[in-house]
Amino acid sequence: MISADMKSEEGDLDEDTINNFTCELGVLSQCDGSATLCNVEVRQQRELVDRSSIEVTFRGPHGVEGVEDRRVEQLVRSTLEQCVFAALHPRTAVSVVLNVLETDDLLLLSTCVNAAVLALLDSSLSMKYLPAAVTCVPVGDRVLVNPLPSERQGSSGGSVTAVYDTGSERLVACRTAGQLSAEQLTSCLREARRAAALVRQLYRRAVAAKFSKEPRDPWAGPSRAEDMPPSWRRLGGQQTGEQSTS
Amino acid sequence: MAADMRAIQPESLYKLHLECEERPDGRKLDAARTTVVTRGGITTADGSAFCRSGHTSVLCGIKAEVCTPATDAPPDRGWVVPNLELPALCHHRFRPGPPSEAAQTASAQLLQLLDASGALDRTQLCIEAGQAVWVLYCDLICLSHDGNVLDVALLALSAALTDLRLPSAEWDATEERLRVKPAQRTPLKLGPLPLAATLAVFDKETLVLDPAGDEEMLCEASVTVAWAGDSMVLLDKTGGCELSLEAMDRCIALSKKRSLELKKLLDCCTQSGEVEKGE
Repeated sequence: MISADMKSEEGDLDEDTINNFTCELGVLSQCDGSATLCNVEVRQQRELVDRSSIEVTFRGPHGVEGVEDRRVEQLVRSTLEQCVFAALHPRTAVSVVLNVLETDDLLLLSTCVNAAVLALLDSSLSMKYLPAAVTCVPVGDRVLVNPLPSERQGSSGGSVTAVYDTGSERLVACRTAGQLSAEQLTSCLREARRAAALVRQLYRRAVAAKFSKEPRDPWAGPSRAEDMPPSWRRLGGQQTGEQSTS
Repeated sequence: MAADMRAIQPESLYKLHLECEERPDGRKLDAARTTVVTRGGITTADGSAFCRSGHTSVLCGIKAEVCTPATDAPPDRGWVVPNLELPALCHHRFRPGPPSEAAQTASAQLLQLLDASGALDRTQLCIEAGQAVWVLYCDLICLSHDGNVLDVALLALSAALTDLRLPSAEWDATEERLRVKPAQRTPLKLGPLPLAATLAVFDKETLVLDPAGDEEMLCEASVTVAWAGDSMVLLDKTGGCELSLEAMDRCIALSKKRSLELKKLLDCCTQSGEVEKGE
């Protein structure tokens, strides 16, 4: 949990304290994202002659589709449309599928955006910039970043999910939930801008971890428990203790 | 020459308009279109309203039905189901068929706005806890889409809720059935109703309020801010170009001013009874 005084500029943000971030390319702790870029026919109605068409499919945890899922897809898709070099790949489709493994209603949206960006990083699709999303909740005079349910007792229910371009530090997308005052919104946006820089460092570490692994026989299966993606461990691939790293 | 440019280079023509701080329809950048609200037009519905802003118009009808609350839902709350339809007749880009993503997202947004504003306490919709609750089916149909459907739809929904009259209903415990008197009707007690203002962003800094259809197509981003009284209940900037925090502050200020105008319009409409017209 990170908290910062709404009134002051200093905070105690550092990358070890950003909350609940387990990320491994291809698998994020609360979302599982994958990107497919391949030479299949794009459906005629979706084909764009001058750029790639980006499709996002979101499957909520409860299985039954609802209109709320479309809102998540809309935010993720519009963020990706801006950051991907779609003009490099005309008449193709980039299809991003998001499946939720565990859910926290408040943090879902920011996790989906981060998972989609990590999946695109994994797929090596050219991007203009790296967007990073965080959720901020004002509690009293403080602003908490990505707080757990236990940490956000006492909030009035308002929250802000903000996606920032980590390079230029400008706001790419933003969605609020619940009631907020204009001052609370402004403080949350400022705090989110600082926290987005930390998310970018996490992306960097995930990519570095991907390329630091020894090449191994792909048919051998994971030799060590630590090599298994967290989702495999949760599904009981091998009996091993669960850990989450940040 | 303007007609040729509109066909070939609409963005450049629009940017020339913006340089003169005027829009193609003659409005200033922070002026909204003339808005008309009419309540009670559909006599077969329990509550209805029609709202038009420029050429964008949305009709809302509310039907109240009784149902048993679900076992996993709180037993003393009814529920509201807003559904916005963007049929093929409202604009040539919509085809007949299943609801488009735009319609689905707008329906989800309307529900979120009602929930976040706390305008309607769902316990009012309870007839007998665990046995019978009201469900309000709010059907919104866009009859003409010339940009900024969400604001108009939300205004129509808010006006229809003020027009809603629920029949009196009693649960007869001895006979275990509901007795409804359709002739006796009461309005709901509503909290501050949500009202939204959408701004389109051009060149990352220029904001125009209440974008018309062609402006919505040309804009680089759009920001929707909804207010219920003094609280912001939604800020939605979905993708598009990046925005600085200063521009965001200006969005918030402009939208607050517009929501106050809409509130005045809605209050006049509620008091006077039928048609109200405002800027």
